[in-house]
Amino acid sequence: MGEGTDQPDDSQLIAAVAGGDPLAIRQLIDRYDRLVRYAVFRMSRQRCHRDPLWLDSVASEAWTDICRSVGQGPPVRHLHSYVIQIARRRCIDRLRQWDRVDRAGPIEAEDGAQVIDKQEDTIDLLGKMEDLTALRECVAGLVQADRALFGEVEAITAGRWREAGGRLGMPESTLRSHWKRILGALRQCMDAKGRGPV
Amino acid sequence: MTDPHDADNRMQTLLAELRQAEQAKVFEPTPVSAGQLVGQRRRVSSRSRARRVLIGLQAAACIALVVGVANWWRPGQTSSILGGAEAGRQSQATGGQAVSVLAGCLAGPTGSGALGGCGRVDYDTDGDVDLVDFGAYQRLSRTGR
Repeated sequence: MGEGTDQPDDSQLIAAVAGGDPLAIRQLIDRYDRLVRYAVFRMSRQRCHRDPLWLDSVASEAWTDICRSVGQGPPVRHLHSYVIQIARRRCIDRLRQWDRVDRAGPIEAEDGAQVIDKQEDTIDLLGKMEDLTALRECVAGLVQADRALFGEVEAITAGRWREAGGRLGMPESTLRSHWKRILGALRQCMDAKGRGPV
Repeated sequence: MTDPHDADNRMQTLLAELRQAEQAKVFEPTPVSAGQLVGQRRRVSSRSRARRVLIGLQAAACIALVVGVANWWRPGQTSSILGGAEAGRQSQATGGQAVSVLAGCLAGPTGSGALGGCGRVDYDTDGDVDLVDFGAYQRLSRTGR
């Protein structure tokens, strides 16, 4: 028996939040905040990169909606699906509001890309969030020199090895060799965390 | 057996997603206060109660208006609103008997006189029932008698 057993399950948490317990609300936020933020990010990726305050703003409003509605309607069966749906709904409202006032025009015309990512299944979203969380821990476990290569992942993924190597101060062949080794180490780490095979 | 090249590609895709999520600050906590959320939840509860009361009052007002209009259109009320016309119609109904007697007793200026039951429509008491009596009857009808 450890600390984990003191944590209430989702149904207990819902009942406590519905009763207005601030500690329960804090636990709910700690448990699902990252999922809320990731759901908003998946729906408004471009906006998140363009406006550094966007994600905090939308996620705050989503949490207000969640805490207001918990315990008010029909019983919640899957809390993770519930928070994702509310976060998406709030994100859509904000995107529509933003498009109405944006003088530059709707974001679709500006970016030429779909504003809202395809609404994937909430289970898939939860799974991806858990994969990213595990991978983040694996990357944090790399040595500093290897973590530095992580900053060039976009160029490496795009095949711009020489460009990435130039910024990192190493030849392309050395970069390729290091990168292959790091990928292997990360796959092993993910397997150990039960998130493999990637 | 998994193709290592495919496995590398999937890992790279996941790493790119992680990089973008970190740049967007997905992994940072949302700046919310549990105490503020509790306060907002309480305000919403009292607001929703007030809203329910207001909705109930509006519904009650609508029902009262419908009942009032229905009462206004009842026959009893209608006669009081129409006033003299309805009252006139009721005296004419009563006076309808006088009209039928008058019609039956009307003898003209050289009539033989108010005989039998015709005496009660001989309003000028000149012994006959003629148009003068009919005019007197009309005057009496207007006054509601």
